[in-house]
Amino acid sequence: MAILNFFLALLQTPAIILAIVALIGLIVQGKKFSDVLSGTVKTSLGYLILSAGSSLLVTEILPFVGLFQEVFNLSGFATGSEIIVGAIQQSVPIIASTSAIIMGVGFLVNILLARFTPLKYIFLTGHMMWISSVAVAFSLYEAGFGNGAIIVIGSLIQGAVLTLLPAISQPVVRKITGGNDFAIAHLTTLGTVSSAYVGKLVGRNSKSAEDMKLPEGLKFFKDTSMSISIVMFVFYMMVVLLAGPESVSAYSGETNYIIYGILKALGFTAGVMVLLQGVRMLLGELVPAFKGISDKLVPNAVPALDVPALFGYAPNSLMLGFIFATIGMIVAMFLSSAFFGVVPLVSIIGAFFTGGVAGIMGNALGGRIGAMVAGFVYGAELILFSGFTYKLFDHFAAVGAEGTGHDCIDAMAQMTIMKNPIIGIIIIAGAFVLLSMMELRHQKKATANASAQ
Amino acid sequence: MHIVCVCGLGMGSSLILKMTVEKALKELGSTGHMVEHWDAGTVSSKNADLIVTSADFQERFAGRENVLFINNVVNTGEVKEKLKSYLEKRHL
Repeated sequence: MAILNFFLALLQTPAIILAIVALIGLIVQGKKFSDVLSGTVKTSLGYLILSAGSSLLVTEILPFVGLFQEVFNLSGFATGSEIIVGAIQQSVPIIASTSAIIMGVGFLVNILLARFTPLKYIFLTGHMMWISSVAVAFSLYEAGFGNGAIIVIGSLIQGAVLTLLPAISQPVVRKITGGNDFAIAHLTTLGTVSSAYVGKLVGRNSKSAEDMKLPEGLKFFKDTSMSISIVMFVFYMMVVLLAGPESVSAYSGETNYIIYGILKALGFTAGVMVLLQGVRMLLGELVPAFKGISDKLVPNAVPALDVPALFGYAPNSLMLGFIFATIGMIVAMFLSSAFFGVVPLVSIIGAFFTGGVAGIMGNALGGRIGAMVAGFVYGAELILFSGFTYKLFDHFAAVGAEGTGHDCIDAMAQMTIMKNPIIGIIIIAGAFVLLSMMELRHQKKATANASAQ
Repeated sequence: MHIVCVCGLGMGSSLILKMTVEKALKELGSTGHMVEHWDAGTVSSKNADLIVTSADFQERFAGRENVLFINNVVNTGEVKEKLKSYLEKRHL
């Protein structure tokens, strides 16, 4: 009995489960013993570093949340899916351990679906897999399912969602890249694609943004540590100055209130950096293991990659998308406070990486006007949806993540429709069938075109 | 040689690129390398012999000789060709 309990406890420890997933992946690929050992240990270490980063950034954001409430009488929170899922994993062990299994088994479901359905996409963006697995486990946990059901249903949902998302963006991606070499694997697909189509409506026939000249100075936003520091600095300064030294001293003690604001802003960024380092280490072994397995089992697969795979195709549209997404986010902060009484802070990572993609897609469909409109609409969608879900899930307080919210639209959509699990599952299954049919039609057209030439 | 693959966050494209680089090196029969993936913001703290990154980082690494820019991070052929000419130039 003692031994059984030991193994059960082992399987409820996320750091160990993830190590086991990596271990299996590495053994299946026939790696050397030394590689298997180091890969397994590093995966575990990666998870522990990630947790350390999460606890740090939560302690650094809480004073902001408190002061923001005092000053504006509204709930402000930082937006970043990595941030919130890290915090949830840290405080709810059941979500942490089930999501780890969902990530591994969900990948196998992705492989099977790619092998046997028309959707040939293998989702290879590790940090998005991770965010999705936690969002899925969270939804099922919230709906009151037990561990076993969370793992089984969760893995199926995870696999289906990750197979179908690249299919949604692929028609636009083909237009950008001129081929079918790769697809995009990201949890912002619904947002970027929908805003690109709005850009198409408005920007019809405008010239491509790639013929414009843009200022160079904005490029440093690519540097994550700088861009988060700047945003957090601006917002932390705003609340400490408005709250004044007296209110701040309740949090800061003897430290000068302005210095306290600077330290907390940078401390939050430091937390994000530690978290990202952990994620990098955690995924460094898992993703290659996954890819090795899929290369063997699905030879005609289309690899779905992280969004920067598109950046080189349209650098001007990327910057336009970024700038206009930031503007859209700022406008939506006010809208969200009016509609939902909560204020999501601008997600600068979201604006650069995925607002940029909205711009690139918008440009492909609707020229430079399309790029600007798509960026703006995307930024607004993201912040409004983030405010909506923050309110819908009672500030994520019950799962220890108050003060943080999502910025990945697909994860938010998944959580929202899974509020009623039956409806959620029907929508996901329906979307899968619909996209499979569209994919078949595209393939037929492509073969017809090829034979006509 | 210590090769560092770089992208913005250091966890998506750079990791895919790392797999492509490892595959290309294997096909070239070139051994004894350590390949890592990292983010652009802190890569200056890495003591890399060679940086491999995607084409959109041209300006960031402008003027450096030990950087290869890759247009398609899953294209083993492209990576192989660029690595090969780099290794030949360096007589490695």
